[in-house]
Amino acid sequence: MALNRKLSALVQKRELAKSEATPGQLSLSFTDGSQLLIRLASAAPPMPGKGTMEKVLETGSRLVLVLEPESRIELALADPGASISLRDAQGTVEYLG
Amino acid sequence: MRRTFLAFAALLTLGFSALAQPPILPDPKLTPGDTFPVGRADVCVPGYSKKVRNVPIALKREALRRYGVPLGDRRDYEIDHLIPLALGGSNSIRNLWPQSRKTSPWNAGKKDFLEDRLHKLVCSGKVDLAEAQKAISTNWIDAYRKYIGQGGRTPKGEGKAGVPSAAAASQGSLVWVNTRSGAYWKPGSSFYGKTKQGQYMSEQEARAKGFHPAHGTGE
Repeated sequence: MALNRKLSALVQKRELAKSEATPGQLSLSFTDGSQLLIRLASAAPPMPGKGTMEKVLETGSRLVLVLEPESRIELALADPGASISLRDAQGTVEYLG
Repeated sequence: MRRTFLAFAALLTLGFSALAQPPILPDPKLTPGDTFPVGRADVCVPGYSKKVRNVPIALKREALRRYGVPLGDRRDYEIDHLIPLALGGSNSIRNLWPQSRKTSPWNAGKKDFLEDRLHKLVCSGKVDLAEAQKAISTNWIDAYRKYIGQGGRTPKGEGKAGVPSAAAASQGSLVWVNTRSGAYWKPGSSFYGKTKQGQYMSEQEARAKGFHPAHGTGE
């Protein structure tokens, strides 16, 4: 799978504070106040309670979040190119894709 | 044998006629337009479009495939965001289509000009973001006529002082000179009217001043 360089560079080292899965959407909140929203085509898999973002891999509609230590979350995007939203603590857009 | 030959010839003719007339409007079934969940406060932040521009090559190829554009012809097309990123458009395949750089008068360069104008109107509060998104996704040529004017003329007094209006340039009579690099671009090319520093002038004038066509052709 290909590395999503743009998103990986942004989220790398951010510490997971909370994750919340609703039908069709996964929400990850980080300790710096930023929030990553991902629209999903299928149910979200179980999320680890803690972890630090390492990188994001993406190919087509498949997205993989790699967290330290040793967590790998595989997701199916609802609409590639229009499913991921990352905003900082002030709500400013950091990434959309 | 003769029938097979005739059928082959007919198919070949159909293929060439399809290539000879690239669409100037997207197919609404393939490209209805799609937006990110953003508002005016987001899209009017400088650098917004750069942050959200993410179109993988696979998605660009898929857009070409859906419209039947051979990969070998891709240089003649821009993979256009029907609703531009600067107006909240997304990178979804439902918002992407291959737009010809070479058709006249309606081509990718002309739509880019409309996009810039609409972005300015939205950010100055003169046009609502949703209205701009709807106008450009319904029929961008009608939107051009509405927000810029028939034939692409800018309203009197809006052009930059001392510079031919961008609309006049979009008529195809002028080239865009990147005054920093010394290269000039012809209408419909990727950087026409886009570089940070530059000005419109006739090709003859550009050559006389020592500027050269970008990549040898200006295209």
